[in-house]
Amino acid sequence: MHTTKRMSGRLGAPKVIGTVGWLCVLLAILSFPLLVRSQYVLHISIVIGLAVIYGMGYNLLFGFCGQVSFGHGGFFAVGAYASVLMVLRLGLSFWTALAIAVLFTGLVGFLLGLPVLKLHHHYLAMATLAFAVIVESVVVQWRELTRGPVGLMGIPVPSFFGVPVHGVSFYYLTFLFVVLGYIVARNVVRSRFGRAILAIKENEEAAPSLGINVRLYKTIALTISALYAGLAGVLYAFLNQFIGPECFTLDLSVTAVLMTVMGGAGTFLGPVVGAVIVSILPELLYGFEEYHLIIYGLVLGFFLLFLPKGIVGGVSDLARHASAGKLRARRTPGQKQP
Amino acid sequence: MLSQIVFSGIYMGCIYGLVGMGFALIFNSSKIFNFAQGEFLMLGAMLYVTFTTSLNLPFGIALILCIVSMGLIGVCLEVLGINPLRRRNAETIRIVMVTLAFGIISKNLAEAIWGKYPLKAKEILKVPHVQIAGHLFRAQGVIIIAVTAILLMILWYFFERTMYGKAYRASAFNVTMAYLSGINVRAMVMTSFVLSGILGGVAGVLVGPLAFVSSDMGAMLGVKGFCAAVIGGMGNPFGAVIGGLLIGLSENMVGGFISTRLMQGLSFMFLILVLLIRPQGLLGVSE
Amino acid sequence: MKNKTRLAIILIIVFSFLPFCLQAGGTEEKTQEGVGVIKVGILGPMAGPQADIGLTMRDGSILAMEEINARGGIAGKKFEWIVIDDEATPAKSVNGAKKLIFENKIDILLGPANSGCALAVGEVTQPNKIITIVPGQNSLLTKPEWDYVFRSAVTDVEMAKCKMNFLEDNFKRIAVIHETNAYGEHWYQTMLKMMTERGLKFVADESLDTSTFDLMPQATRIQKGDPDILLYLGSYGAAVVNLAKAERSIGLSIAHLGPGYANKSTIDLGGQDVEGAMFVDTTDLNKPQWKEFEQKYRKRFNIVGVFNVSNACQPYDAVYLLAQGLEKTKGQAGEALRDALEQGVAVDGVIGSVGTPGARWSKSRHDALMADDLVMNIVRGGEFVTLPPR
Repeated sequence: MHTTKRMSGRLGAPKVIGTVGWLCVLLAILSFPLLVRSQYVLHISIVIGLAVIYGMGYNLLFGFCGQVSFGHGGFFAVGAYASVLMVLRLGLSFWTALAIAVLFTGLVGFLLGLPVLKLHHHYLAMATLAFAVIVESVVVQWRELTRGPVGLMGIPVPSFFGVPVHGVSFYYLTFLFVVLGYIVARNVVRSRFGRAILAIKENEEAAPSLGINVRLYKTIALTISALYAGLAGVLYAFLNQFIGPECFTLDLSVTAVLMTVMGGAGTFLGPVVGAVIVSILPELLYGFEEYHLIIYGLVLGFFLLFLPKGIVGGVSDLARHASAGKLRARRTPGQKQP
Repeated sequence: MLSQIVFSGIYMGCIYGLVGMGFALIFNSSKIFNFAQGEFLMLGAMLYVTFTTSLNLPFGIALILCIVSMGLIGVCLEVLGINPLRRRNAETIRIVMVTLAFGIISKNLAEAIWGKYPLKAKEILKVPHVQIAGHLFRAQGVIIIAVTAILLMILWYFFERTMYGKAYRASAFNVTMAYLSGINVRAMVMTSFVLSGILGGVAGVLVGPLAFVSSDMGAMLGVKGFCAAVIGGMGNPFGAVIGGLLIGLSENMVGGFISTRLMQGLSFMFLILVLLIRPQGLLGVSE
Repeated sequence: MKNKTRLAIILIIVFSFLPFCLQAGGTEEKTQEGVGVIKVGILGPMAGPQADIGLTMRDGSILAMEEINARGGIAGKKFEWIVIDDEATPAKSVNGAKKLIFENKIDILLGPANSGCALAVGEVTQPNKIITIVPGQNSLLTKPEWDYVFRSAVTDVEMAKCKMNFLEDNFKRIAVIHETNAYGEHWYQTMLKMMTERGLKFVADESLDTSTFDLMPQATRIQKGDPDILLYLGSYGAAVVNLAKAERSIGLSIAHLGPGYANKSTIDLGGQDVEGAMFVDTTDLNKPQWKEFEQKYRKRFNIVGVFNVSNACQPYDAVYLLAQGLEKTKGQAGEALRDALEQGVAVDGVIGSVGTPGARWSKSRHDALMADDLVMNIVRGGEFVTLPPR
């Protein structure tokens, strides 16, 4: 009993916040682009949305299934390049290209998972890192396909029945995907599959005794996370209308890990919070010129050192202490703490 | 031409090996990937430039000062970032992220201190090449190989012959047993950080004069050093040197005899092969 | 339960509205709120390995803007500028451009300094009708669809023509090496095409990655080709020093022909190793305008020793070209300025070879200089010297 309550409390952010809270949030997010005056701020908020999608997918694999990947930047790149090439070279519409690119990235994830997921811990991390580097190398070397280091420019603005999807409408598109992604993630984790991958995370050796096909489930988790990363990549490409190999360095893969760890792995809000921080922090620190990255590093270090369960974990701990404090006051002195 | 290519493959391999050894030592004692290893190299190179150029110290003294400073930096990282988390039994990935943050801070601090332009590092021998058996060999390359060899011999002696070194190996092999035998595990972790700092720093000192020193030099060399460590087998630090030599030689031989366009991806190709065929590395022991 | 709820709601709403706080992020800005200012954004790498390209672009343009302001500005309006560091990354460059256009409300954008970034930023400035002055060499930057983009320099295609003529006239065995970045790749494609068109072949064709430390394979392969000149296609910064040292260590002594605009690091780091390196360049060091500029520039910014000459001179002349246009439009930017510039502006300024008309723009010519305006500069005695016309 105690476990299930704790588990659902940890996973089920909705239980913590309540419906009213969620409606407020939804309203804030929906009205945001109409209230904001600057296209620049709008641009940043879209970037945050992409990062959230990227992070949510990664969290499924890392936070809920316990597999460390240092190569998700590779999936991001695959999604971006696949969609752009389909639009530029094959003349497909954005929407078709989006669907195919995302599915293709998932396929790449699946194929990668087959050999690589038999490795564990640091070996898995190293193998996925190698994957990300290979993707970057292919992008740079296969000049006939990707135009190499020069990159692909002039990516057209997507159009929805003739209306260009740009600025505010792109924000809503991204936000729609964020919400969909969140709902899908929640349902995945709450399903039998979700319980299975959590079991794999808790104890991978014991999991088969529960009738779980560990290799298959891990591969599916990787595939799903690749789908998210690919989607984020597609949106990124069409937001900036230009991509080049320098957009997809190892940093991108490390960012996925960083967002999740800092925000709180294995929670739903964790990657959201992590994505927001990692995207906003460099912008906020613009004013500090040469010192801004030093401060960025210090802030990261601070969060990592002093918030062991990530920001979301830290906040809910704080909240728990606050309510426990009230309970403690009501108890008679001399009684032991539960 | 063959001799020059092989020679340059060897000395670059030594650099990758030194960096890789740093990775392996830290991994051995604490299962942590040190994302700041490349910055150790960069810091060593920057300090070397300051000691030899601004302070005009001779090579020997500058090297010793670099070694001491880099050891201290290793201590810094351990005390500030690693130990607090290890004491609380934090997940390894969290500690790895801390090394990343340390790396970001170091790199940008170095840029703030030493400036934005690449710097010139003094060559140790005043001549560009030495002549051995009728062939020209790059002078700095000779120094690199010599210093690496000496360093490796010292380390070998340390690990094989001293009590402390043996304790270190025991702790790497099985932490619980080591702890139960009374070995101070934290001291072992501290040692690995100090040694990695020194190894990275010395690599920086040696590689700088080949071309130039800049705040972003740590990235590529760090990554190749990492590959060297994995290929050699993280379990055995000396394996990193083998891995490094493999990478250095193959890069240069492919570049020299086949095509310079194919050089870049080789280290990763070997990495993948090793991970697929023999994940514990060439000299590693399977878990 | 209530505490948790409240706390969580507050946290989430705070995070959703954090973007508003972005307004607080400051940048180097010369404020002077009021009637009639011409706001200029300066975008480029101001730190890191490519800093000298961005910094000289910034300084050269500031020098010109300050001079014009001192004379009373244009139609009563003075220049104001905001500098943003884009770290030579396209994503950051686009961010920076959007910030400059939508938050700082600039009228004119100088930069981005790097072609890769400029290709991305053009997609933002062109639809928003912001006059953009790019210093990059990538020929794709100035095209008919992008009529708000002007180039303060010369395209790599034009430079390539100049180089090709020089090579053909003087050398028989040409080796080439290119950096594996956008700049180097594009140059390589251009030169390769020209060589093929003239029925010529390279005796050695290598590439290098600028983060590699050991270029021995490249040096030995070049030596094997037995060339009498090496065409170096890349930004000719620190990486070429690497190559030069490798060459020396195997006893290969060969002249380099660079892409253009040798920069500070080359001479600082290279010293003896880069003696004799040649560059097709935009600045004639024998011109009196250059000597005047040099004095003013060194004094204003406290520069001692070598600096990126062309990177500094081009924006200087570009600002003067803009000023001519702004005079015609009485300080208006946007469409009016584009029309004014396309009607034809010219300045016999710092860039351009002695005896040529200098930097100029017109409807059919968005590039300030072309092949005939260029010079050949060489490193002699640790300094740049302009060779007499061939």
